[in-house]
Amino acid sequence: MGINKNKFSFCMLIFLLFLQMYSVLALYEDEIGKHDWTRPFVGRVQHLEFDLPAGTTTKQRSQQLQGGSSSRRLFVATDHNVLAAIGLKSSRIIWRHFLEDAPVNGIKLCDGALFSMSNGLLRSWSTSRGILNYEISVQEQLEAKFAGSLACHEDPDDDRSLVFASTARRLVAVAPLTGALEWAANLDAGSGENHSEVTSFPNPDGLTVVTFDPTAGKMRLHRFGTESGVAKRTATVKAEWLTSLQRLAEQLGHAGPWQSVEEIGGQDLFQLTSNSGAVVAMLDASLATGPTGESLPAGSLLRYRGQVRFLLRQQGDGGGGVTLEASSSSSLVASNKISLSFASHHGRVSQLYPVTFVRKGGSYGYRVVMATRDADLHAFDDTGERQWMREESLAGIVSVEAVDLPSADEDELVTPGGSVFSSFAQRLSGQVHHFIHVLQHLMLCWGARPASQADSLGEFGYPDEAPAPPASAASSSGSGAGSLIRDEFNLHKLLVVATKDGKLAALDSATGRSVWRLMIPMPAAAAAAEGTAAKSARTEARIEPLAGGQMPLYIQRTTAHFPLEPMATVLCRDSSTGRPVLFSFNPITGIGIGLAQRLQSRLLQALLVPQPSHDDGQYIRPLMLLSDTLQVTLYPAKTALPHGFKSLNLYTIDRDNRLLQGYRLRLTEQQQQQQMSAISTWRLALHEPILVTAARRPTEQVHSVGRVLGNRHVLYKYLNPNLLAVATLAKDMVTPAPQIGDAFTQITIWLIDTVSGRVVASATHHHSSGPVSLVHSEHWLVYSLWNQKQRRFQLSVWELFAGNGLRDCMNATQPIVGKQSYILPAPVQHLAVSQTERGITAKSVLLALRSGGIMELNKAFLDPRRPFDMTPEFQEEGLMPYHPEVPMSTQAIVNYNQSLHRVEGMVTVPTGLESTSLLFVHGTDLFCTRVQPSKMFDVLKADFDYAFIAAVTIGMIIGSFVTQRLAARKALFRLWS
Amino acid sequence: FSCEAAQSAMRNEPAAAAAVPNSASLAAAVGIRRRWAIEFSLLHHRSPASQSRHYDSLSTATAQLAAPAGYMDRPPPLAGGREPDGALISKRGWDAALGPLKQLPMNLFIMWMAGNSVSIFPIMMVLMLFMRPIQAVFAMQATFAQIEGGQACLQRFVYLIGNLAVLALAVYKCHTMGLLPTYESDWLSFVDSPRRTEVSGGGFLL
Repeated sequence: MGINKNKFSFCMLIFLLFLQMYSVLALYEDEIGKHDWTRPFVGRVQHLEFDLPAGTTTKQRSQQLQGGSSSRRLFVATDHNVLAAIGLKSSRIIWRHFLEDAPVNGIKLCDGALFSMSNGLLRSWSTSRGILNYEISVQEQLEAKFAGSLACHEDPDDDRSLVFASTARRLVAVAPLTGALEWAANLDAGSGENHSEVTSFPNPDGLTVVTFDPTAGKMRLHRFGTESGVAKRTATVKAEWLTSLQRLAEQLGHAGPWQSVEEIGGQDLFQLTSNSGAVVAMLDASLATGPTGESLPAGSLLRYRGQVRFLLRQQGDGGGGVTLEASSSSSLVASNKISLSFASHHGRVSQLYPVTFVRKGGSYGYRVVMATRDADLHAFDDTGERQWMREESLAGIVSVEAVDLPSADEDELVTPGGSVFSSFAQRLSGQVHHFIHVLQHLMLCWGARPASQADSLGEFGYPDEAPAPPASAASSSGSGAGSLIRDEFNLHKLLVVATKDGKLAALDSATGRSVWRLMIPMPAAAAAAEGTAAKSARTEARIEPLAGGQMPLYIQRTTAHFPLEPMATVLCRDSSTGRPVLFSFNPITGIGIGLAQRLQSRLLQALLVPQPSHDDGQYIRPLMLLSDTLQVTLYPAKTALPHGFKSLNLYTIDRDNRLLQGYRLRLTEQQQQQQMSAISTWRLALHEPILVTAARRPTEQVHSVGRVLGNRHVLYKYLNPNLLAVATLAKDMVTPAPQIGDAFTQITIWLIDTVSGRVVASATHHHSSGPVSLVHSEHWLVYSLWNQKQRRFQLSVWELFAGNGLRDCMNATQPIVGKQSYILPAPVQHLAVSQTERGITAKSVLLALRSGGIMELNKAFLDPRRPFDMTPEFQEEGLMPYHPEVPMSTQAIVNYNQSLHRVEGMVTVPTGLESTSLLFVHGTDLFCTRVQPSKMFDVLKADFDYAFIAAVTIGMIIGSFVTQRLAARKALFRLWS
Repeated sequence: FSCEAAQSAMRNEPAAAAAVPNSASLAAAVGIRRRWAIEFSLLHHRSPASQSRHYDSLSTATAQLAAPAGYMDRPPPLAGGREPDGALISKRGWDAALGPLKQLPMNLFIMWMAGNSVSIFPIMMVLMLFMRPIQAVFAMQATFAQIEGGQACLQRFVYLIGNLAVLALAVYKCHTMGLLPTYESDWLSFVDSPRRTEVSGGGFLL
């Protein structure tokens, strides 16, 4: 008995040990998400399919529908070429695939599998897990850019269903389950080969394919049956007024595919119905030359399988909601009129996807998923209540600026340089302001307590608040604004972002939540002043990025000047006139400052002057705007330029003309008024296509001006803050072309002084090509490129040093450039460098790998002084011997297993801690973390044993007192004895 | 230094001992002060056979007990003593003056042994090397207080030179250890980065 007991306890011990092993494996699991957050997105939805297609009467389907509502999901294909499944209830991404760099032509759910068409390839995916079933090339020879279309034919009577995939030249019919090719047919698209567009629609008895050849202005209709690839009927329609099917769709106010085609009357008359319900009847040239049935002016008709008809009507023009009228011959539809409302910052509805299904009781129900103009995705139920919202607009971030939160510190209240009394008065008023602010906050908290409890949803189940009251454009709730106070180390910041859809938002750097969202308003005098611009009522004017997708944000006044509110400005463009638009707002609250302002002339460049003018007490850093007539204006107009600068220069990079130009601000006195203009100072024609450029961040701090060598001498850095690194691509004339494939290209890197236009250094990499990414900081330059001959990625570094101990780095003539290259064992998308407050901490180069990782690489690995032969002197300097491969360790991946795809930018922000810099990665996914290149040298570790240290210290103190007493006693006894 | 003074006192002792050459003269000296003395303990302990011999040698025994080596009843006549030997003083003075110089080779050896690494022991040794000559120089007055010879000035100078040599050795040691800011790199952190006077910015055409 005792032995058995022992055995049992032994077994238990082993079991417990195994349990311990698992807990050891997850030792650092608690650190996941502690200092970082990820928000995965899919992008702007272009195609959407519900898992359960509406109105299907297949028995199987309805069973599925009634049985497992938990598995309901929707499939989307987006402008980021993402194919994803999103839970219809949870709004979470169930699976997600990044397809190749070609637009997805369409997705279709057919016979239980999901089909996608992109780049001329038909793919079948399993709906549950997103596993690729098979892949079929529709066309034998691949073309550069494919137009494609997808349709599904499901016969309710027999089980035979077909998937039709077509490019502009070929149509294939495939059995959905097996992927076996049933038949194929060639389509005659006309002369235009690459520009032909195609769209196809299922018919009750087969398929209709519409191809459009824009060069000939002809549209062809092909009607096929299911049995064979012989067209039953073809018809040609002249449509010279039409430039593109896609553009027509966009003009009609949506970007989605055409929903159906119907022939009206004879063969010359048919109509296309788009997804948002715009109806176009196209006639033969003899009858009409334009879209006649221009659909409903402020609404659209939507029909669905003849069962439920929706009439979509939009309220007003500023968005804010749509009313959906559901009218049907069937009486089973619950409500006839629902209104779907959302906050005004989403803009109008751009796409609407309704789905109907059969409820358990046999009644009909429907869900509506809609995309608004800012690319956000909303889901509504039958009652018009919004279930969830995905902030897909954040997948299109074009520029980011970090804003320090307002500080509660009194030191910030007093501005330097004032007299004693003014400082005292300023301080008093500032503290009174603070006190009032705290009181207001407390009252708000008291009032908002029940509300804040109610909306405590999951971590990323972003509850979009109710439509904002018209008085405040910002939508920050009271509780949210209250927590926005700077923390001890200034690690908590607000990331102000601008998206390509003209939306501004602020993300909390600690949690990733959107603090406020704001649509950039259109300038007020849009319609009145621009009579010519209003070409058609259909083309809706919208805010869009400037040329090259630029939409710069400028922080003109920081939060450091407390009684004055911070001010940020975004520079964008009005799509109808193409004129630049400036809009200022408070970056903390998201409330606009004044109205958006349209500039009368086009801009060449804009420059935020690095310092505010202290004269007026406004502390606004003026924005210098250089117009195409070389006139310079300041924004805001009442600001003045600060003194103390020898010259203010601007440079422009003209990608089309391969030209760099420099301008200098010139001040002239005319009738007691200062006139500002710019004179062209230099001009540099590179004659090669410009790929990327990089400049040093203007706010960058350099701590040490030199590098200490092993023999204790100094190598002075060439610290020119006005350097611009440019990468250009040209044909490689040196390396002989390979036997197979295209000739090699070469990449040239230029370092240009943007004040004088002088080329400081340049180097050419033969047999190399893009993608190139550049990063320039302090006195060095790091870039990555593709080596065509060796077929690998390469990382190169330049370091610039001033000549023999020359102290005046600004006037150094020509720097000594050290260069070294390394093999990068993984493809890289983007480079960035960590930034700290004082620049004391070592720098880290951050590499966004295509595999989805963000790798932190110490700059010490990229050092042109890494020697081939190690000497004690080099060792003394702390140099590593040269090794051609860049070490890649999984521990250096700062985002561990949270892969980030399609990284478009990485922003590093210094924090109050010298060791720490904040990294924000945007692209399809958002990610924010802390980066510590030299570890946390200025903060005690989290596992620091305070109790132990305190116990030891107290013990020592007590011990010293006791021993002192004892020693005194002993000395006394000794005296007596 | 104080020890050396003690040594010199010891050296004066033989002279004092020479002043009391034999027991007889001592007994005579004692006899002047004390006319008689009865030593009971001695009577009690001695055997009766040897008593008579004992009484004869009583004065001798008293002298043996009372005078350990170098004992003197009166304080030695300092002022009234003989003039100190000039050669001896000068010798002693030179000993003291050359002391630091004599220690120099040993210090060199110790410093060579300590190595050039900047760690706690070499640092302590270098600190000691700094402390000792400085302390010695400050205490120079006291060192030479009793050795006032004709060459005192020169001796003090040599003493100073010796201590300075030790100090120089310490400085050299610091230099070899790299603790002296003698290179540009040591002043690098005080060099301000150049102020930006020309502002330039821009980018792709807007």
